[in-house]
Amino acid sequence: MDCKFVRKNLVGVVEGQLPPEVRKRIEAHLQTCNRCTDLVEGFTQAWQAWEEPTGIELSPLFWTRLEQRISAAEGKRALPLARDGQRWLRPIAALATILIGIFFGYQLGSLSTPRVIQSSEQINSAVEQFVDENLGSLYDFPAGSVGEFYVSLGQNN
Amino acid sequence: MNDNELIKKIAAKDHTAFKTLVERYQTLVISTCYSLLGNRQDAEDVAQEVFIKVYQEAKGFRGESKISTWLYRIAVNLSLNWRRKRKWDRFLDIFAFWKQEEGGNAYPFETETEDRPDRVIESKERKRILSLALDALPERQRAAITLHKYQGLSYQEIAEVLGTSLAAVESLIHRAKLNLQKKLLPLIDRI
Ligand SMILES: [Zn+2]
Repeated sequence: MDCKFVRKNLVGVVEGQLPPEVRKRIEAHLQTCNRCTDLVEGFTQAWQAWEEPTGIELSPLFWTRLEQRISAAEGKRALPLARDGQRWLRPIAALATILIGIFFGYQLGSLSTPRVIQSSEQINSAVEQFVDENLGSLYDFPAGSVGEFYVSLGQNN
Repeated sequence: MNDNELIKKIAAKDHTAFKTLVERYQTLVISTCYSLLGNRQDAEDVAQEVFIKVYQEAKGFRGESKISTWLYRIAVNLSLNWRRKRKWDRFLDIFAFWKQEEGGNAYPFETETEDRPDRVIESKERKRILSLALDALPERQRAAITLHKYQGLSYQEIAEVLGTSLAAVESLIHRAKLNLQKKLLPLIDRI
């Protein structure tokens, strides 16, 4: 039961702002409960972060950048923060990429128009034409290679 | 040259006076932005916007509050706006083909556990845990507690920065602490 009481009063404990009777009750509980002792210790440490310097260092270009922006604003031309510009470019770039993708996809699709073949003669001639145009190089094996051996087997048959 | 004299010169577009003001307050502005944004690069970008606003609105500064209060107010407002805008940017990041590595993320996730004798949480890890919990707070609670804890502002000063009452600030900070407690518990339990 007192564990809950401790958890409700952690800030008071670490800031030392509890009425004496509450403080005594909590101290008595901490003598007997390791879990709450650990919790108070952890909370105390986390609360210490308020006291620690942020350690933030100013960019050496802070004033230079500021003066540039002031001067630009005086010339009626406010300089946007560079990072803002990039953010707004993102959806535009995404849209442009999609449109370019669609365009190239369409171009690829229209590269070869399928031929309608209606007879076996047409199939043979289409295959021959395809082999002539595209596969001639398959037979260009170097002399003595395994490829040449297989080609010669086919020719013998 | 005191702050009010500087502001008068800045209102007349004096770059030298502006540079002096920037040098005087850049740490205050950047650290405020950083504590609200948790990212060095974002903090610097917003700090630039803060000073540009100061330059543009110097003429309207009546000196009713301290310059630091004015700067805190602008820094908090612009940082909170930036966080809202970042939600939209995260959507745009879906298209981030060339998304750069977010340089200088303040709280890199570290999973190393071996060199943690006796459950000593390293400084970086402590900051990361607190930052995660802070990130989940409603924005005004986050602003109030970071101004109080990181910038050391009094409740009265925070009320002036946030344009609210002292009682409202007390309530904001009280709720922020309770919420942080709730958010931190599971994070600490996991360690
Ligand atoms: Zn317990």
